[in-house]
Amino acid sequence: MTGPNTPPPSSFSVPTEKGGPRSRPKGMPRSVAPSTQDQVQRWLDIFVPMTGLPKPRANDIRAELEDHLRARVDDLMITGLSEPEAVQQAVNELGETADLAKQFRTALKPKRNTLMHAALIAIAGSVLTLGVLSSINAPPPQQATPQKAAAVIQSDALPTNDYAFAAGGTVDLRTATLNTLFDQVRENLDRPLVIHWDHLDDIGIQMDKPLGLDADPVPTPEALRLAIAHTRNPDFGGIAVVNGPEVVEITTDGFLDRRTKQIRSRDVTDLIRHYEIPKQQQVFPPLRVELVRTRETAEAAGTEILSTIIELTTSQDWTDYGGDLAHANVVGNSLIIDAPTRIHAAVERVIEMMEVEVAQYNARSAEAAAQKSAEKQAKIGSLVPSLDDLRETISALKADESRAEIRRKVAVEEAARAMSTVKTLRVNGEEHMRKMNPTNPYLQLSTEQLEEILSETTQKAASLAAELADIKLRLDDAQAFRKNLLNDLVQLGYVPALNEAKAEAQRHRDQLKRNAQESTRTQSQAP
Amino acid sequence: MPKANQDLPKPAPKLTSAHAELLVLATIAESASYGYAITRAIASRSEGDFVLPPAKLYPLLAKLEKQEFVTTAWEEVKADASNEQANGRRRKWYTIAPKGARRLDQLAEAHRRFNSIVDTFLTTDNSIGATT
Repeated sequence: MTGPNTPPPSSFSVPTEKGGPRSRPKGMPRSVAPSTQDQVQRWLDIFVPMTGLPKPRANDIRAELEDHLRARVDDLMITGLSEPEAVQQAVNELGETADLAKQFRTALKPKRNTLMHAALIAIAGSVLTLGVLSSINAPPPQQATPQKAAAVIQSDALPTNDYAFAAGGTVDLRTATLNTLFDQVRENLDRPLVIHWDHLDDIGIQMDKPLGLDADPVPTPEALRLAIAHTRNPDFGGIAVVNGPEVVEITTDGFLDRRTKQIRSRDVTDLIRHYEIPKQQQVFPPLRVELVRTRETAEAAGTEILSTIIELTTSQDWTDYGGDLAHANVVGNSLIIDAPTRIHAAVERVIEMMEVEVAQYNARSAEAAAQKSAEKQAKIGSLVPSLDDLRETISALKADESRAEIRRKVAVEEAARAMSTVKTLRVNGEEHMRKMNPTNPYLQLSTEQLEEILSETTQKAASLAAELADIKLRLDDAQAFRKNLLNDLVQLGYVPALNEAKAEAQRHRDQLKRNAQESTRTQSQAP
Repeated sequence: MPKANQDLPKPAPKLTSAHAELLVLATIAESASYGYAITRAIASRSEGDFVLPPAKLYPLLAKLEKQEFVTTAWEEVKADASNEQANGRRRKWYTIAPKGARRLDQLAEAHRRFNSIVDTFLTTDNSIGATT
């Protein structure tokens, strides 16, 4: 093996030996054993297409990695590994095939503007300044001169109407090359056609290769559209057309992206409100859990919105996904995006769709809430009259109770007086007492009459006590029923019921307090 | 507390991407080289502390070439030198370009400056940590 310090071949040119490196004649013996060769070749056959690089570049990488693998296998075999083991280890050392392919793609991507890193450091105060900086060399903003604005066509956008400027003649896409196609466009154009050959070459677009599309001759605009779509490279983009008022430019997506890069701010308050998950926080006094929106919760929502947007807009272009074309941050309720016009437009489309979705969700929620509220009101409406009825019933029962109690007391007092009079007459002598109290009609009654009164009033008092007990029972039932009803109404959020329940609870607490004070006073007065 | 120092795991030197670029350019600047030889040279010079895996090296070389820091040339290598008819494999050689030499100077200067700044935080007897 050639050592690290072995001088390179003196000519430093591609060797010209027979059967050059790219065209091994069939049947020629290979320089390493077939098994190793097969395994290495198999791996390379899988790896190289994954790079997605233009063919000449991909072939060079293939040759370089083949050289590496074979040199490594030789070294590993010297350490005692068998050949298959050595091949396996050498391939393993290259890491994940997809990762390696991506590393190459990233390393060989066309150069991009790297302004956004600096730009995002001081977003808040300097958006305007940086916007101006990034707009240098960019076409004038559309708002300023709408009638002269350049129509930008990138290979993502394919409606034929956009290519109407190229009208005139037809093109046979089987034999035409991009060169001949552009010549045809130039012939019919009323403005100069500027083709940035170096940009096209940079992404491996071949100008002299027949397009080879199996189609009858088509009008030039359609041919241009098809050719642009056909030559697009999924990793490096494709041809872009700037249909300006003075000239028509043909360049690449990447170059156009770089030219149209600018920072914009977009209010996303509604989205943040929707995606935000408020934090649970204990509030004291009184002890309860409240949902609180904080800067962190807003930022978390912003991050989620951002990742949705990135996933839906050519994510490989974003710095978060290893790209270097677009970057965004959420600051407060705004999304600050540094990206080319193409990505701004895509972001705007995604945000609009998300906003529509959120608005629909909110409308559905509001409708459901309104329906629930209406149901509650209906239930409250059906319960409130019952509560009013109960209030009247309780009031009437209380009046009845009060009246019955008074009547019972009168009867008890009358019975007591009759009994006391009978006793007095018996103890002090009837004659004597009647003479001494001639004006007291009660003392003028006979003992029999008094006993009859006693019997009647005692019976009356007993009957009234029974009536009172019955009233109390009905009152208890009514009050229990009212309490349940009140609870139901409180649960439904009926404010008067809530106030009533509160007042009742307060009365109950006051009563307990009074009872306690009374009890203390009684105890302190006791001997 | 010397014992505490002994218990701490010894931090392994880590090759950052800026340093990888510096080492690769320095290796190529010394003499023209090719991918596998560059890996071996770096591993050998660092006594195995720095290993630049192929997954990092080759994309880095491609980037250096694209940035015109290095120039390249192809050589055909034959495993069986006695057989003139045998087909060889292609080897890509890298030579430092003037732009690459300037880049190397910049990286080396940045590295020296970084080291000198870090050095100002270290005592001469290297016993930081043991004194606290």
